[in-house]
Amino acid sequence: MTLLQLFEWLQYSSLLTAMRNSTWIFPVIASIHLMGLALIGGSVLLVDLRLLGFGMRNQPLAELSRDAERWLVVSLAILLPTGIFQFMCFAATKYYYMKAFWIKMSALLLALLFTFIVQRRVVMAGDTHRDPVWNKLVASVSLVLWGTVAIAGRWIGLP
Amino acid sequence: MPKPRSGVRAVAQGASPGLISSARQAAKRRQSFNLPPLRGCGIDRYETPALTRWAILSRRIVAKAVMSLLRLCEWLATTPGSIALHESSYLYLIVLSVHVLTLCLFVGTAAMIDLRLLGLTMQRVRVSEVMARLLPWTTAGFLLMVVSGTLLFYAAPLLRYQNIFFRAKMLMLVLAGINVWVFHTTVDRRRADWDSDPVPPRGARLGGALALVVWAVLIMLGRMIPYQVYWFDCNKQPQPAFLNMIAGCVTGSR
Repeated sequence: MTLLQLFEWLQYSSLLTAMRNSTWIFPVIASIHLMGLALIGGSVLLVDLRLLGFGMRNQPLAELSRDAERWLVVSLAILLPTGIFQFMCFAATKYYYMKAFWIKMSALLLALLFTFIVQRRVVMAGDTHRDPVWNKLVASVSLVLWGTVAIAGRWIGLP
Repeated sequence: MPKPRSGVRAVAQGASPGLISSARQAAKRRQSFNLPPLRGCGIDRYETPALTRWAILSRRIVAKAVMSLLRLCEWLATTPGSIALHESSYLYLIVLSVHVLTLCLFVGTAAMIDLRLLGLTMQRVRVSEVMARLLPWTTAGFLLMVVSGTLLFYAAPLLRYQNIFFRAKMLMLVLAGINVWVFHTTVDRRRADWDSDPVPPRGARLGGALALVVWAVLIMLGRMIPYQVYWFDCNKQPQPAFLNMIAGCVTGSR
């Protein structure tokens, strides 16, 4: 089964046809997605601002990032299901041809990998023995990746 | 060329969306704000003439204020800036995107403070420290929100004015302000006592929880604003009188 066929199957399944016929379901799901956006913004900013030397700059890096990571996971648990629902609510095949959708998905994958592999390793090592330039670099990459996800996500919704 | 009676172009030429705009009906609309006598309010104008006079006056003032707010919106909609923003191809969408994405900064940092007040994150950090470090970012986000939100209002003042979700959102903003004010004047006064508690006292937790609920409701109401047209519109009369009232639709028969 190709990706396009999968999207077509999703689009015409009976549950989704019913969902599309409601004027309420989509905005409600989109609102919950936005609440997740706010929460992920908070938890990503908490660590990235700290790495850049702003925000909670007096706290130990490892401890702060453990606190933030819990809420990052919570926000992902809100964002991913609502995101998939939103994707399924309208014509899934519409997204297949949409540049912003693929940009968002690739950036999301990169952001997740970067956050949970690279950034986690950096912050768990603490910030005593490392050149602060590395911290700033890691924070900038993280902000750019998550920013791309957010902006491309907004771009999907534009007319 | 005939003047379009409705739609974006008509609004640009001075028509008001959602309002009946012929001169005769405008006169009728003005008249309709002369409120009916105080029947059924338990105020007898022979027994308590002073109270009656006061009631009539206060009702007139409210009606005038509502009316002038409506006029203000009508006038705002005809200003060149509003029309330019309404009809722009990109600027409106950019402002909208800024408004949405600032959620991360504003609600994100505010939510972290609220979660600390609930004792759900950064338990080993003093509440004062969390607030001192994060509130400047929250404030910056709030300012960006207010500026972009004002521009979004300015782009379509009458549509927003007659939007139930917009009205509810403004009400929620007031409630958010009251929540912050109550927090700062009560439990926050004694912050020194519980500053380093991993889980702050009940009052502080209540403030944090209420704030989180308010942000969630605000986000939902904001997202709903453009969806009102799918189920309710001042232009599509007749509507239930209750909906007309809470949306502030001006109908000839009020």
